[in-house]
Amino acid sequence: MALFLETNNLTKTFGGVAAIFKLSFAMGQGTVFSVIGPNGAGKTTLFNLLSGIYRPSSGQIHFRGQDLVGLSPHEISHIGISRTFQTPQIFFNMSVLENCLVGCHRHGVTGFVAAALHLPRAVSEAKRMREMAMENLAFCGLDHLADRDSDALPYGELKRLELARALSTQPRLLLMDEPAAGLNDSETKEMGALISRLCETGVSVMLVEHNMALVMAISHRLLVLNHGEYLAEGSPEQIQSNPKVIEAYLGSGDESDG
Amino acid sequence: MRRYGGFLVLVALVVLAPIVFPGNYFVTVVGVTIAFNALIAVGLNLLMGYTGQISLGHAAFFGIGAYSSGLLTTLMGWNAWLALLAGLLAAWLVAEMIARPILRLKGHYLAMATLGFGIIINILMVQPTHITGGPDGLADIPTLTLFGWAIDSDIRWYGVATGVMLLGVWLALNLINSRIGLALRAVHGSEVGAQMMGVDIERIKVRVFVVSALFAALAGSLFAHQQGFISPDSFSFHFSIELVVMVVLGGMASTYGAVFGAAVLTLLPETLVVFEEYEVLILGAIMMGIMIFLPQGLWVSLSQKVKQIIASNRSTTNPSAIS
Ligand SMILES: Nc1ncnc2c1ncn2[C@@H]1O[C@H](COP(=O)(O)OP(=O)(O)O)[C@@H](O)[C@H]1O
Ligand SMILES: [Mg+2]
Repeated sequence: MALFLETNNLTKTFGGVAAIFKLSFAMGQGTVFSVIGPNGAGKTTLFNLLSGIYRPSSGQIHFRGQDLVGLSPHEISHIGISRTFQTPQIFFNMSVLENCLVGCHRHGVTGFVAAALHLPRAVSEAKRMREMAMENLAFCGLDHLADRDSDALPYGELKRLELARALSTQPRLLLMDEPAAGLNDSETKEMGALISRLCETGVSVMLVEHNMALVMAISHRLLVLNHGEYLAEGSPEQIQSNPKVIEAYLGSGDESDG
Repeated sequence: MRRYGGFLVLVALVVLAPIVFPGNYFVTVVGVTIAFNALIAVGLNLLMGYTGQISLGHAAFFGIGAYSSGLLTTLMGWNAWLALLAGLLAAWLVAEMIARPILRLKGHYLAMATLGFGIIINILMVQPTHITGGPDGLADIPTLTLFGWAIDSDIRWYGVATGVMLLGVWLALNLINSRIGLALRAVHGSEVGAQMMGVDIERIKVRVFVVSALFAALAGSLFAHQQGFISPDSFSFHFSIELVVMVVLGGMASTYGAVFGAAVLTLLPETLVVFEEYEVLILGAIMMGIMIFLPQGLWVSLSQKVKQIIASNRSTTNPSAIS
């Protein structure tokens, strides 16, 4: 059986500098898989490669047996990978519900003509999507804000809105880039609980996050990057006691107890 | 439905105007021009206001519609409705061809490219003098016949022009309130976000460009028949800019705003003629004033003020769009 997600010698260079260098790893289905590493380690670049925003300089990416290299982001979205962004890419010109409805885009078939003529099938499809979007807003605790303008939301809720929107695409794999950045302690806890619940519903999560307490608490496995290269991989316990990791990243101080 | 309440008000205005002011020049003559301009502005607003892609060349599509109808009916003796369809088809093809390369560009580059396109099309209307009549224009374009009725009076043209304009508004409203409209607005909000939600942004930009071109070409065909005479001046860079001003003046991303903007920009010069040579000056000053004090456009700003007064508990500050 094909692996859920694997990369093979994945490399991305910018003007001769490698942001990701010969990276090979595999991620299992149904897990929370975290990618950690200091700032500039190449975590966001890895996400951009996996989601088709960047094209690898060399190497392969396979998702459930399918080659992802060369596919555009919308095609990758249709295959079942979605993501949230380090700086939220909210549609600030739209309401909370509308943001989520865009996430439902790929489940619809209504085109320009059917939409402009307000055909019954366009109307019933819109109704179905609305229900789907509301479910995902409810999952993220945002259903009571559905009709709010998204630009009126506080930061913590924007982060959850991005999650609800990504969930509306019904991804098999969700890439989350620093979901807890900028959140206070209680919001961070909520986000962690949300990610764990998400994983229980069958969505595999790849997580980039600097809050080590959160990462260690909810991850099944971790991949450590350093200067774009593979440094280590293992369970939270293994990583926390790995001398290479401690030296390169976690530092000698033991603030990472999760 | 609440969503279409505004539409019913617009229909009522359009129907009542010639009844309340029968034979009034501003209704049955200027009104027709407003309807054509509004139709184009509503289409352009789908591209600019909702999707966030500027075009400084839409007069070209207005011209393609007008010249297709004008040339095919006068030189080839085609049926006017067939010629109108041919005009739409021509606009479609041209839009499809230029949209692919052009819409990859952003901001100033997109503006420059569409500007260049508009100028090229305008030159193509001037140059083949033996066909198009060159700068002197094309005369003796027959009027339209609808179900055996010749559209040969001001009031009949008012009916046709406003009817088509209302149809355009209805289509645009439907489109915006649909899956497609959501995707268009998402492209405006964040291209990378929209892509990640499964929106093929290149394709949808091309599509909406084509739709806006079709709105303009339809207006152009009708305009040619209504005027009976067309010349390249009507389809110049100058008119492209006016169209953009209509969209911006009314307020981006508002279909009614585009209609309102078209009405204001068509009426203003008509009412300012009493100031003779100061007309353009005053028009410019008004526009600068609006942009400085009501940057979201007249319609959107005013309707927000009204909403704020009605529901003063819900504040709507609206710094628009991220880049
Ligand atoms: N589009 C780009 N152009 C040039 N350099 C880039 C680009 N994206 C990322 N980089 C570089 O790649 C390296 C890794 O960045 P990034 O993936 O954002 O790290 P992380 O997310 O782990 O903090 C950095 O040195 C960064 O400057
Ligand atoms: Mg990053």
